Amino acid sequence: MSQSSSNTIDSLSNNVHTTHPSSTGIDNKKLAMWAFLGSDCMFFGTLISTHLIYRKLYPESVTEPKIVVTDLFDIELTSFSTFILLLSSFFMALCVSAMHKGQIKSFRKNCLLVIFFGLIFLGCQVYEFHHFAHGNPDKGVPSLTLSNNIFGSTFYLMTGTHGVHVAIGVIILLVMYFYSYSGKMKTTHAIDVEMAGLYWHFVDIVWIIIFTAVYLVEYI
Amino acid sequence: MSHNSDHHDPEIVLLEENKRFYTFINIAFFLAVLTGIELLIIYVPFPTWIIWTVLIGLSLVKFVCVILWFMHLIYDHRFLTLLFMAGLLIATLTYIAMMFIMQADRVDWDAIGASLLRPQHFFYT
Repeated sequence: MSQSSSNTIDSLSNNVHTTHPSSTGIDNKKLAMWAFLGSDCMFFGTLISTHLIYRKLYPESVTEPKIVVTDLFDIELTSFSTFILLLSSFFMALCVSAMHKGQIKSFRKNCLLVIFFGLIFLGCQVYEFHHFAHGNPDKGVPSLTLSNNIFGSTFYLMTGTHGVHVAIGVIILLVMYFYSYSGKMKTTHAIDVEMAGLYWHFVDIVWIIIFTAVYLVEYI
Repeated sequence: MSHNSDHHDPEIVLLEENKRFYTFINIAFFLAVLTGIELLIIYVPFPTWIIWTVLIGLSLVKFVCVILWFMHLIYDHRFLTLLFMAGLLIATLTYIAMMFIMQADRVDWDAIGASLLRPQHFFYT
């Protein structure tokens, strides 16, 4: 690679923040993304509400099979997942910052870390679902599926939807990561990386709520 | 300050982004500590209402930290905060409305059990 092309790809800080003017003074992509996140708030709000209300309406004593949720949950694993997702949010913030500074190498490094942590989170979720679905017959813990228990229905729907969001985030970041090698990535794309970052952080805040409202409260 | 409309000077942008780097590190460390406290507090033999309050408080602090600094709301246009808060408000009101509709605290299990035992339950009102 020649020196000039290397400079173009690795240091894009010559025309930072070139955005199109809009009547609101806010970039249209950013406005659309925040509107989407607001609507996604309502979506997750409904899922979390449904879970909490059915949890209250159908406590462990009245559901069949009788599932002691704290026996089923592995809070250490879930806490680890939470740490991982928070860490990924930190690297996502650095990723966006690197793109604003036009430092493409730093962008790639941080983007790869976010993808890696996102995949670890998904792996933990798949392991957890597998563990729940099979139960632990030796310890008398019955299986929890989407259809055998109201808790399972609302739990899998909510955490599964969150997992799908994480998976979509990973795919978006993978596309950006590989696109950065095409040589077509410019500082004007910083806004696109920022939008991906907003999406990723949103997924993180949803998990912050789920971790407390669904997992931790069961241990009180 | 708006991230994209106030200025386009690369040097100033670079300076600001470098300042934010340390903010991000501090926030990340703070969030990790809060998550650790959340995990520990559930094992502490405090009254339930204290644990509830602490857990809800810590979650809110984490939530606000992420949306303000990681999601740049503190640096961005105020309208974006309003837009997001509108969604959040509707979500919260939905939860409150559902709580009232479902009357979660007033379920009469005996009445439900008795009605389910009646054979005509599924065919007649």
